[in-house]
Amino acid sequence: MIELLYEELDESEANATRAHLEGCEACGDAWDRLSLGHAFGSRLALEEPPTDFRAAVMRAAREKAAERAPAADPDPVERAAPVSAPREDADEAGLWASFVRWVGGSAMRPQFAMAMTLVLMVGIGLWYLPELRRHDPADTHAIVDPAPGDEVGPSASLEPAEPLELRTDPHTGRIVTGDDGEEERPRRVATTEATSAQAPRPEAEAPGATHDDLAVDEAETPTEMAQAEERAAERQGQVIEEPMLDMAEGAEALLAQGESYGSGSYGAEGSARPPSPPPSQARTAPAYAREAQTAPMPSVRQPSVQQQPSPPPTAPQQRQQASTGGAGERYQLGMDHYRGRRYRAAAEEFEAVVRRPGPDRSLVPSALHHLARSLREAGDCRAAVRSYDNLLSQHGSYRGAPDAMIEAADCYRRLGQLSQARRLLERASQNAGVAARAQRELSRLAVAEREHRRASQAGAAAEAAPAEAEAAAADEN
Amino acid sequence: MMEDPDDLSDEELLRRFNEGDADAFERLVRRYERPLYNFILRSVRRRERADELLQDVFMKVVQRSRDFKGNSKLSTWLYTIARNLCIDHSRKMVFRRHKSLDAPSRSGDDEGPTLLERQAAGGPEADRAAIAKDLQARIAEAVEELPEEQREVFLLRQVEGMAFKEIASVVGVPENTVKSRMRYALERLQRALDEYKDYVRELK
Repeated sequence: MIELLYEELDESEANATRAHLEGCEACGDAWDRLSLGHAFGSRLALEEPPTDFRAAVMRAAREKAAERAPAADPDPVERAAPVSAPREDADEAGLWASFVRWVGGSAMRPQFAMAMTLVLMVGIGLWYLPELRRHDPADTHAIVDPAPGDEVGPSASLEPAEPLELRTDPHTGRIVTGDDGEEERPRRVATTEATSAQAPRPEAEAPGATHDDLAVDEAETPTEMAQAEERAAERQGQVIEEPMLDMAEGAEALLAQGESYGSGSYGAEGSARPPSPPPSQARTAPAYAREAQTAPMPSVRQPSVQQQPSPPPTAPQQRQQASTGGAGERYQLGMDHYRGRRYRAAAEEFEAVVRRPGPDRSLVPSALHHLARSLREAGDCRAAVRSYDNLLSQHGSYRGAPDAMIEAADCYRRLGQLSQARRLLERASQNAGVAARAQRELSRLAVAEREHRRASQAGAAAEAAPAEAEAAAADEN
Repeated sequence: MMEDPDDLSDEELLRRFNEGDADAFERLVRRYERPLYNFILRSVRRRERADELLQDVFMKVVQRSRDFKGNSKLSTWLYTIARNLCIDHSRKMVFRRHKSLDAPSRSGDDEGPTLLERQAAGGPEADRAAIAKDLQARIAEAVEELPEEQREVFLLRQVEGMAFKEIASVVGVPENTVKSRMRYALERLQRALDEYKDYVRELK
């Protein structure tokens, strides 16, 4: 009825409402009341406003207009132009209308608006595109420790990764990645001697230098990779900074009783050794690991598995090769088996190296490590932990010892010897190179320990129930 | 051909003022001063205060004219400013009931003769004039006695002729609520002025 009273209904609706009002007494009475009230209201007299307020308002308005006049209308010619017809669209009032007029008049409005929209879209796209490209969710330095409750199953992270087939370019000394086919393997043996001949340092200066000359590849662990890179850089005469020298004293304290500690790699090598490059995470090994650098890493492979021909080996290198004799070959064979996932065969080869290493025992630690790994991969954790224990107790300065600790801890965990596992992980966590991995494994171990306790409690309860039943039966009797 | 400034829309006048045309603003003032003043006057019910608030409304428009984006009608914007000022005023002041501004002054009597008494006392012409004058006063008084939310709706419709949809924008409630308030206001006026119904019907 209000709409009808104030004529806000269209004709059809108004007619319908009137028809209803004529037929409905109650609505008719209501309509009468509203009509009367409307009649009264429409007779409300309007007062005239005061006149004195206008002067003050206009004074302020003129001041404001004077401030705006020069900026709003800089072109006197435009001011003199005929005033355009008043715009009916209220949305064009204000700065937008002024800007549009400035662009070029009413005819340009749609086109200019479209052009500006296109520019905005392109600009926004160009603005965000580098951001999207730069954004790499994996590019984070955060170390995320998994919540213990989220852990299920064995520690998959301890599964040894496929050994990296890294080779060093003999010319640049840089690591070259890529797949090497089977046909390249025999060439490695030949090129070893050839590239050894290219080494700037003569073999006599460093014991086991043949293995030093081996390519910087086949790094089983990040620590090994880093060490191999350092040796490659050394061959190129680069200045290498000794990493983390100040860790020597602290690292010594971290080792368990009975473990050997390097006598100081820097001192043992003498002044001939240049400083090492800036340490990466993999290079922040304690001193005992650095000392192991002098003992060449036998796990590295031949350097230049490249397509380029290699010069024939020199006589000293040939003698060196002969001194390692079958041990080196068996070691390589073991590595081939390992990479081919023939873990039992690999274990046999590595065990042979360990038992009969020959005059040069530098291969033993690595062989022992790979023996343990092969046994672990083959599912024989009991034998694997024996190898790990031998490695850690007899070769504490071995550079892969921190990784071996974590791997051994995994075996102990699988065997249910959780306390042993925890002991090893806690030791490994004190090594900066593997601390993050060790912490993650400790988290997983905590889950296993909780489950073990729960199982133990359940078992104890199950055992107690029959005993109680028997006691109750005895009481009844 | 020179345009007639009176044909310019409110928004166009404000736009010109934003560009430095003070005369355009004066036209706006002249266009809205009377309805705005009555809206404010019936809301605050004190003439002196209404004078001040009217000036305040236009001063605000001067200072913030560029804040008007044209998303609504200018009248909506103006009455929103006026309403807000009236609300601020009512919060500051303790409401005091006082006589209507147009209440007839009676010497010695607080209440004048009733409509029946006047009808009986004088002739028809004099009677009608008195009744008319009295009615106006009574209407003003009845409007001022409306609840605030009904009064503002009634005034916006009656004084400015604002559509219910626009009133809803000013007061910030749904349109149906505005219509309901309007209905209640009219019913109140009818009850308050029921004795004058015959007179009003005769006028119709």
